[in-house]
Amino acid sequence: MNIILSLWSDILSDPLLPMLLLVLVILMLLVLIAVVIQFGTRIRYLATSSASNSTVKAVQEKADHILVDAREQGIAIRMHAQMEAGKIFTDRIEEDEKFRVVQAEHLEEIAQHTKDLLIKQVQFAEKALQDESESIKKMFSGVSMQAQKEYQGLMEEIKKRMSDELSKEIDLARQAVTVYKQQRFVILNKEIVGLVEDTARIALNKSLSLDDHRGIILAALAEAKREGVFGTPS
Amino acid sequence: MEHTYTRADFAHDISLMREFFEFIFFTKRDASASKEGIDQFVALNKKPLGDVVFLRSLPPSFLESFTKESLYEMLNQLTEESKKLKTLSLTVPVALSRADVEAIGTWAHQEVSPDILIDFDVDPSIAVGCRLVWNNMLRDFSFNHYLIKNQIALYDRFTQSMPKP
Repeated sequence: MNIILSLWSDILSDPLLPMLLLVLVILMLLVLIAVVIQFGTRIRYLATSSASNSTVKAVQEKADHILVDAREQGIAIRMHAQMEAGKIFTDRIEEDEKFRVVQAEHLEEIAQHTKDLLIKQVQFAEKALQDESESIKKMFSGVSMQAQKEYQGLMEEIKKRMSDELSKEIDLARQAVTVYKQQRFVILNKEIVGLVEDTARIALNKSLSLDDHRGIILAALAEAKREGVFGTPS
Repeated sequence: MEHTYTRADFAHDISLMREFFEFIFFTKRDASASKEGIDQFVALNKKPLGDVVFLRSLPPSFLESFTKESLYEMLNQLTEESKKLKTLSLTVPVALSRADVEAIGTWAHQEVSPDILIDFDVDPSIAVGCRLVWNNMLRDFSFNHYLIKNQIALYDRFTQSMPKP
């Protein structure tokens, strides 16, 4: 209890408390005024109930009228909205079409630009390739000419060497052939003489008659006598 | 010896004389070594003409020198003496006929010596001519001899017809 009393004493001792109490009183007065006003309105409504039916009816009609107007307005608004929406849609389509056209033009421009760029790039690449090709051609031409010169020089040297070697070989071969021919001709002469001898022997043996042989033998004997085979030559 | 040219002829003649004298001495016919006896012998034995000619060419004194007892001795003596006769060895290319042998023999009797005998041999490689041996000396008068003799002319003829090396 003491505690509560001490608490009250503490609270009452605070300087802000009167201000708070004043504010609470003002608020309570305001609430009271509002309740009274609300209560007075309700009483007036209840006092005028007989006229309220006509009023309600009028209000009802008015409300219906308002509703019809509101419906009509709503329809009008909807139609307007639809028209607006159509316009907006049409505008959007037109805008889209314009945008598409613009995009197409842009795309064409981009394509043309890309094409031009590619053509330029290709031309540049072709030119670079041609330049490089010319350069390579020149380089290879130089290399080829040098190689051809070296090849011709080498071929000339080989030809000269081969010609010299061939000349030597031909000279040696000719000498060998000459010696061989001489030897062969000597042998051939002997062979031919031998062949002629043999042929003559065979031919003579076959062609000569006994009388021919006898005559030749007698001639040979006479020659032997003339040569002094049998004594003093005649 | 007039018609005897070769050792074969001589041997044949000796055989013919032996046959004739055996006819005369041992057939008990009344024949003598004379012309008549030769006629009887030829008539009986029908000898070829050459044999007849030979027998008739024998001189009577020669025929009379033969007796029955000395016949074989004399024939042997004649054979031995024939070996001492000079012989001309002839190698010829073909086998000669009797006529050819007689022609060559006749020439040899006339040109070389009447008592000469010829010994024939055949060698076809000689081709023509002959190769002879006289007094142990060989002389070639065959085809080779004539080739060698004309060697230069033949060689010139060959070389002219052949291409130059």
